Amino acid sequence: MMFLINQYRQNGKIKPNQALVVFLTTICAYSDEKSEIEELSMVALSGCIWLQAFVVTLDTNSFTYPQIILIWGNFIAFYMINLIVSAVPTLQMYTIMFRLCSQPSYWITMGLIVAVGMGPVLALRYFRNMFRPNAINILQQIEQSNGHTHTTRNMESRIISAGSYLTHLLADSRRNRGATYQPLLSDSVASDG
Amino acid sequence: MMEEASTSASGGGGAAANGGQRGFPPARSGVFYRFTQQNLPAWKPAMTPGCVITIFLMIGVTFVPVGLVCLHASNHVAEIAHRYDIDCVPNAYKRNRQAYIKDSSISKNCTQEVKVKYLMRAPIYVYYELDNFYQNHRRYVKSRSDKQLRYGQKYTHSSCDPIERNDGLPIVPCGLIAWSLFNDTYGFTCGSTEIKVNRKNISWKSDREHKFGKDVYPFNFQNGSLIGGGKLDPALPLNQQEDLIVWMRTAALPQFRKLYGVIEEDLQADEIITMHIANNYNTYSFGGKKSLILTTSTWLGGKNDFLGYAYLITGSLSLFLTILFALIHVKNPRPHGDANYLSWNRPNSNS
Repeated sequence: MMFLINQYRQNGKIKPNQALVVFLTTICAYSDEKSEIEELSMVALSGCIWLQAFVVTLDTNSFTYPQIILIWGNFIAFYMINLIVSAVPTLQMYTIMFRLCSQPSYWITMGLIVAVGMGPVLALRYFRNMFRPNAINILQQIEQSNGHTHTTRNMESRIISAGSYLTHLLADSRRNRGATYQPLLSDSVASDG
Repeated sequence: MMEEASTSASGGGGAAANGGQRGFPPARSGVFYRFTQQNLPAWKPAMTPGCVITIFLMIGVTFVPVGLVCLHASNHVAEIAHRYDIDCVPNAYKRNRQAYIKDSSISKNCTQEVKVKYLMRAPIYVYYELDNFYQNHRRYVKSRSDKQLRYGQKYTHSSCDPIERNDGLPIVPCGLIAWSLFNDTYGFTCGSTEIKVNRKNISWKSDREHKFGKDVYPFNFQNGSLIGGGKLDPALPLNQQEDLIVWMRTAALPQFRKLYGVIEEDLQADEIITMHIANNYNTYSFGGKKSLILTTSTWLGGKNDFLGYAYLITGSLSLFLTILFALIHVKNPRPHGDANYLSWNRPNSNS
């Protein structure tokens, strides 16, 4: 089962501490019980799927409906596929998913995995964006503020900033290329983390 | 995180000058074109203090009540757990338990008494619990043949090795899992009254109907020199051997419980229950433990405080973060999207 979680983590979306959250929560919630191998494996895999959906949501800065469809469609497809597989009598998975989904403890465990897995990530990201923002964060915030009304004075300062931005972009990119280089797109800014 | 700052879509209409002669819609009007040009209407959430504080507040307000409800459900489970593998060994064999368990001439009957502390409402589930028994070991888990269990001895498979054949004849059911079938038995009395244990329907209905055949009978089972566990009634088809079906649902963890039966009457508080145990199964050679569990059940399952406490702790931490973030936001507010914080706009910037 740990192999399964580790394999899933290697797609880059679930961090090691989140994999640990999935593993420990699954073990503790279902220990000393009559659960069998397929059930426990499926609880852990479900935890990974849930965490993945939320991690990708947090990493996305611009939601168009293809993004929404792909993120939560993956989530829904996971359950659809597993319910279908659980309906095949010759497989070891027969009726496993139906039993899990009918247990309140399963959904309570999923909620716990998501909250414990995502809470620290959300808090740390909020602090970093708020108190130690890099240029990308600030530019994203400026872009997100464009929908609001602004006075002429703000507009002038933004024009000046844009001019400086272009000048220093070339200088910064030349100097920082040896370091972590993050190209800036004119319309949507690449996400960090 | 997610204060909406929506970007309006560019709705440029295509030129209609040559409308009559064009068989295809203009290339610039489709959804795919707008997607590739990143011009679809987009929601760009912003991680503002209000949104983050609200998220943590909602987590806290939701999780603390759920934690309390889970703890309440867990506390409503009445459970008696009694370990008997040590107490059931006669004094003469305390130092050599394996000799005791392997000698078939010694009676394995054992009587233990426990006191019912709290009222236990029917149904009361009787479980046996094993510890340090790794049913999840890979070679053990694979040592079975589902086709044989379903269709009969013609489908005996080499995956059952080393419990596949005996004297050239196939073993039904084959494999290590069936061979190591648990075979302790339990009976209960209260005073002079016997407490009936319903041993029907303890396995999964789907297993009885689709996994184990109704025309497949035990054959050549436990006939070898090595006896691993319980014997089976050769007159009963496999789909009626419920102890076997329960045992072959391999457990995920080394400590596990399996259902033995159900008591359909209440047990009153302060009653003394006498357990009549047939201590047949050898756990002494690998340092295992055996326990007998009587427990009631709720919508949350058995007695499990972990979910309740975990929810309470998570909810409390979220409420704490809510207060912390709110205080930080009030005492040390940061402007949102201030261009002056860009590195090239700072007075002391090195660039």
